[in-house]
Amino acid sequence: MIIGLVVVCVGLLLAEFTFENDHAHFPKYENMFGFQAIFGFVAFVVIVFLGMGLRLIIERDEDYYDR
Amino acid sequence: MIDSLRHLPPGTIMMLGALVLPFLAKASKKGPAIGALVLSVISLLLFWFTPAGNYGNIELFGNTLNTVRIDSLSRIFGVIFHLAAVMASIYALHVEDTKQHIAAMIYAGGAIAASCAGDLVTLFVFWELTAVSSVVLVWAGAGKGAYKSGMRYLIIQVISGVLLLSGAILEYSANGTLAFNAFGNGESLWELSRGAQLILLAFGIKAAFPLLHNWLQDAYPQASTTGTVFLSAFTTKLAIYALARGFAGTDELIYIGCAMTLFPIVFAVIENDLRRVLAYSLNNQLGFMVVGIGIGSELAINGAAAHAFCHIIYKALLFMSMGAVLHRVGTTKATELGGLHKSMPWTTGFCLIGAGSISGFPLLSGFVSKSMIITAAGEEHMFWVWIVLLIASAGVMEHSGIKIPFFAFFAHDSGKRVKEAPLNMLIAMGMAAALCIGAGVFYWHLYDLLPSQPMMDHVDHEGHHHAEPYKPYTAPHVVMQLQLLMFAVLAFVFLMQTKLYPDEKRSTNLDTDWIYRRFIPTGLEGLGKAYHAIDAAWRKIAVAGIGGLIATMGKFFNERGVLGRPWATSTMAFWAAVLLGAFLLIYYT
Repeated sequence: MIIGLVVVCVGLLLAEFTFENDHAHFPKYENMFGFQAIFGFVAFVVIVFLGMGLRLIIERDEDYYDR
Repeated sequence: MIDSLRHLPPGTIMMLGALVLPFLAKASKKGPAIGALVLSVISLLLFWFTPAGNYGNIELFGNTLNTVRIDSLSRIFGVIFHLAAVMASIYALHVEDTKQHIAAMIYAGGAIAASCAGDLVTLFVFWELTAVSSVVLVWAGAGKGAYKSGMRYLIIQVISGVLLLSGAILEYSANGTLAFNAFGNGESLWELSRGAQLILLAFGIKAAFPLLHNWLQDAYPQASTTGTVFLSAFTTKLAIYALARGFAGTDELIYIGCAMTLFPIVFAVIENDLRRVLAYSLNNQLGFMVVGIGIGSELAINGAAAHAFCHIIYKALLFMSMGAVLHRVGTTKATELGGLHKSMPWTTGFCLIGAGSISGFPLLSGFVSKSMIITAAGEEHMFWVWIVLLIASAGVMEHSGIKIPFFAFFAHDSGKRVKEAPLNMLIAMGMAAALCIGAGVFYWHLYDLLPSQPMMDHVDHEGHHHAEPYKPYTAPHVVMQLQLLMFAVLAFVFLMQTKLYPDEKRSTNLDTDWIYRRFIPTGLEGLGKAYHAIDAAWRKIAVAGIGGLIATMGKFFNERGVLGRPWATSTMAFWAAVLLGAFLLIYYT
């Protein structure tokens, strides 16, 4: 299943060669090869790590408000 | 007859019909549930065939109140509110608790009437009605915190209504009109009148603006299984409608919306209760709409309306799937779930369609609506807004696209083997799923319902700008969106494989509700204790002072004190002679 996912991802990267994006609002970024792919991966990892950091600050016992 | 009905606010038939439901309960246990569904369907048909226009004008204290305004903006909200009511009523067909059906009908009808209100007084009346009726659905929740949570919800909702009324009064005294129209023309919120600012705050509370948001995550997961489905559709989207009507183009809304899309996604990562994860997710989705309203261009407003429409369906679908899990398993805590796809395959499938829609996969509804808002940000050259919305899109993939279905239905097998959801729940989920696919594939039918035909800016090869109809399905858009989503999935797999993805944990995560659930109560308790200590100290000092005075007095006035002891007669005779002598001397001179 993981192999399938990787194949799909590589396919999506290669698909970029099949068209020209003339609707880009920020061509510098949008037309950069694999921009949204890298963006999606990095943003996901950062969000998860931020969540782990947030846990250090706001996590309490489950019955916190009941005590 | 039918023609005169249009002078009543849409949804009236649901609100009045709700009062008949208790009598149906006497005929059959299922009576109120079926009655609620019939009322929703009749109201939908009536609304659908009511042509655009202003109806139900009432003279009040020399003012004309326009109680019913159906135009292109209120139409789409009225339609989707009705559809949500129909689906949620089917979902709740098994419920035999009459008060929930009554509350749900008054709530849904009130929201529909509010979205068609042409003046601020009518808006206020139905605004408060939705608050008072919906709290019953929170109280109907099975959890032990439902009652208190409902009270907090009610207080905050009523405050919103009071602010709305105060703002309306100020507006009336300033402008002499109660009409509910745009309050400024794309101004900054600081340039709005004081009344308009209060009204914006009232809308902001109900739209769950950052720091005003936590009633949502507090109350929705506490409500009954079916109640949450109703709640997810109306209150916040009524506020979105009201913002679009009153404050389109107000710049600050862009930044408020950006904050709204971002902070909930981080909270959602670590939340264990999957219904609460969905509440954070709801908050994030509202952010997209608020950004669209803030941008205020035609495409952006169309995008906000389209997104509200699609969002109500897929969010209801997600809440329905988690409701089905709650109904069968008794909990929606991720730590207790997993592997349910084996026993609830249909619910799993419907949940995946909802998850795909909210994440914005092509051919599903989120793709054709969210992209309009992101494109609108691009057209206005708002680079950072565009970046924030992309980050938020990856965040949606995390909590709603992956976390919800993965931890409920897949992940490690919890060993729980339950029955598939009841038939009525499956039918409601099936309808919502079909609408998600329908809106994604046959998107032009959705676009026909929008306030105006969505147009986008096109630059031809010679550099000329011209408008062309907005097309969601272009090769670059599809491929880039899929890249964003599939690489986010890849990141999830990577984090799971490397064991970096945080475990689900049983915990309470603090949010702004901590301020009024812990900080203010403990603060007041501390203040009370401090006051008591200071008060006690003063009293002690005062008592000691009075005691000292009494002791001193006693010393002087007791039988041996200077002023209290008996004196010899000779001493008195001596002092009398001295006084008489002094008297003689003074008068002689």
